[in-house]
Amino acid sequence: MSVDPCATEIEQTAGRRRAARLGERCFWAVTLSSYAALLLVWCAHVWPDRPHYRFLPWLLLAVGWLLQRRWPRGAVARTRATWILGGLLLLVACGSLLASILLVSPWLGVLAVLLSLGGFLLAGLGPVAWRDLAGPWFLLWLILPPPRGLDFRLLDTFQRSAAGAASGLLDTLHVDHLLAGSVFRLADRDLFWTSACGGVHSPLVLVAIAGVLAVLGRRSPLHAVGLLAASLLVAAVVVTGQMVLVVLAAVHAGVDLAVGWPYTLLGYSALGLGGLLLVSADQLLRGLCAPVLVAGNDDADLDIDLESHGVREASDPLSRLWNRLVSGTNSDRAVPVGESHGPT
Amino acid sequence: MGRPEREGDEFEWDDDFETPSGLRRSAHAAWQAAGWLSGLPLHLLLVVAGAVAAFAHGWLASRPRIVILRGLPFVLATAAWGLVMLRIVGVSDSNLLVRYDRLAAQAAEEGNVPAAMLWLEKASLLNHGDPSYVYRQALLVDEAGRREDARALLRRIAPADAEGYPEAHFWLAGDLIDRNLPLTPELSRTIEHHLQQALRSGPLASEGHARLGQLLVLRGDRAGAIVHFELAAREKPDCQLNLAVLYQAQAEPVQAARAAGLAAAHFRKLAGAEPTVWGHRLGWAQAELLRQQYAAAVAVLQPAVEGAEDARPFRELLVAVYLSWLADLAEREPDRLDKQLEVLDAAFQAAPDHPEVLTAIANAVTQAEDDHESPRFAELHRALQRTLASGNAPAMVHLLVGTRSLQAGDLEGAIVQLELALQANPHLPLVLNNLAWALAHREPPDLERALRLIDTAVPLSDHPCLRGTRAVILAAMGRSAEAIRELEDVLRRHPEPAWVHGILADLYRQAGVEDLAELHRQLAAPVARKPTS
Repeated sequence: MSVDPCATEIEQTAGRRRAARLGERCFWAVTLSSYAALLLVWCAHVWPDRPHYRFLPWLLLAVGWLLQRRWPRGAVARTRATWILGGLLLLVACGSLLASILLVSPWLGVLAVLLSLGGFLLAGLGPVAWRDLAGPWFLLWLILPPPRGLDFRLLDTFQRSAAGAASGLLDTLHVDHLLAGSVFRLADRDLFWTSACGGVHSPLVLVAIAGVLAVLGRRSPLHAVGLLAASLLVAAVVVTGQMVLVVLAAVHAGVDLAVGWPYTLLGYSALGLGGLLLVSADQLLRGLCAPVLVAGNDDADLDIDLESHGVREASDPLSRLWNRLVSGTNSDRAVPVGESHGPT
Repeated sequence: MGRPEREGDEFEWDDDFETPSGLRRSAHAAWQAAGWLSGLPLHLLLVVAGAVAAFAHGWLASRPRIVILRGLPFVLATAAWGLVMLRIVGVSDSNLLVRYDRLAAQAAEEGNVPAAMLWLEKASLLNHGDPSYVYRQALLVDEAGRREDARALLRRIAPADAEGYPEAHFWLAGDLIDRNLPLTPELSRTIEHHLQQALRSGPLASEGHARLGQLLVLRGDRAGAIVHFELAAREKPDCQLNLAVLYQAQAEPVQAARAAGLAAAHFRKLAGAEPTVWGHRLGWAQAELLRQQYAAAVAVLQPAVEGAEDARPFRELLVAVYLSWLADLAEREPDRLDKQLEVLDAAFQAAPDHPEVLTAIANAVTQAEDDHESPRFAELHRALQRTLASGNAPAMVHLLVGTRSLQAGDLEGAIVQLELALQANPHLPLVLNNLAWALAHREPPDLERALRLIDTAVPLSDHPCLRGTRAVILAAMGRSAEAIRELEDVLRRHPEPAWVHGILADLYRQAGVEDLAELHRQLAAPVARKPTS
């Protein structure tokens, strides 16, 4: 039986490639899993100290799901630029890791995790996969609080502002009270707000939801920034509303909604309402940031057009600029049917 | 040169700029250039406006309406929130302030101190931390009996080393004064600081000056005190009384008389306006006393002594008036013993057991004892006799004559006069004491009655001499142990215990305790058995 030398050579080459790919995957798997312990320690550290970051497990699950969903199935195509950028990110990650060990700083350790993951996505998977996976990667940055306790200060400011707004609203409603620090004092009782921004009541939960929505919908950068800003506004509305509701319930019904399960239930309800408002804000931004299309469709329902038909973009320079910067569409092609307006 | 060659010819321009035709061509060229220059921006503007208009038209036409409509809940929610915030900003703090102020007053009226405190705190916050609300809070908690809380609140707005709310400073100064703490230099400085800060408030200035004056008096700085009292007296005429006292102490009689006159006029006016407020009479009488108008002072005080619920301060002042009058008479009219006896009798009637009155009586007796042959003794004797001869001699004269007889060793004569004094007033401790003494020493002694009399006298007066007399009677009755116990008690309180030691020496000797008897004998040099003080 004769063996075709070419076929043998092809088989050998393919085998070598498979082995190389396997080795590479093992390398990245070992490299990234080495951070898993650090990440778990970080979560355990954040959970008791930062009640406003208790959404972390859910965020990690969401990021994991998004990464799995968008992970490239075929061959990867790397470029020199992504190699260089990815390599640089990995170098910085190494430096951050070293600094975290020397300075005993878990924060720097988590920074190293994020940079390493970014470096891997860039260097290991190439630009096409990066376009899909950058969104979840950016979303993952929410696990890293701002340095030097800035998150506490910002939350304190937020809480004070919301409480001040609630107090003003109560004054407008002729509900006699005194806002003293984290306490709403009524003539016959005190309502404590020490955990107003912790756990499910944290405004960061709404920020995280906004981030997930933006990544999930592959929104443009401007849209994503707008959605994050809207999430802060929604958080202010929701927290203010919660505070006012609790005081009104105490004054008019004698019920204390600021403690126990009523408070938790109130928090989840407010979160649900906030989520719905965020979806609404996302739709508004989607409509406002939509690309400018060719004239002649004035009477058509453009929403239907976008969902079911491909239509051409307008060709004037301002519209093209808008479509590229705001909508994030590719100017040389028609708007894809039912897809996003560009990679995030 | 291009000029019209003749009249009526058409005007022509030459190429040369100096000719009219040259100028016209140049102006035309300039106009064209200006047109081009201004037209370019206009053109660009039109192009840009056109592009923007096209973009706006395209943008508006391209909006997916249904998608935007889905954003309506967010728009409505945030718009409502924004409107509420605008409304909140628009709500006047002054309206809220009035509301919470009213709530606080209402709660305070109802006695709901916590609620009143709460609304005052809110009002304070609305008024940018106005300390007047903290002051009102402090007054509320003080009324509720929480003085320490009131102090803590006021110290926040009136620190002891910095400028604060004047009313709070004044309150703290008054509190420190009222606590009767030992006036250390540090405490004095703190009070002075609070009072100086209180002077910044117009309505408190006069009261602040008055208190500063009192503080400086306590420090011994009379000149400084006078300055403050003068300032205070502009609005508080009662300070004239303090001024009169200070001027008198500073040996400035004219100023003292002026101030006393003003004070008397002020208090007279007050007493006239409020006749049932007896307190005004105290100031009035003091002023009259300072003016040496003794009879007037007595006339002012008599109704208060009889009418006031607590007559003690008035009686004290009345005695002071009589004693001052007596001293004044003794100095100015030493020969008018009748008049002196009259005043002394009046003092005795007003306060029969007053130590100073008793001392004055004792002085009168002692004076006679010292110099039996002196003209003054003779004059006093004549005066007493005249009074006795009049048939209506007061108890004090019988007491004086009886005591003088006792001093002279005429026990029977003394007993007669003292019995008469006792009939006139059976509750005079001095009469009871002296009569008991005389009865215990007569021959034969009436010890049972003497003991009854002294047992009646002891509860009426705390004077140690009464206990001494009782001890002597008990010793005479053979109850040495009781007598010794009584005398040991006297020994602890009597300023001149030599005579007590003498009696104790006798008693111990009778009891056979020679060493103690000897010790007391040594201490009792010279032994004087004095029945009166």
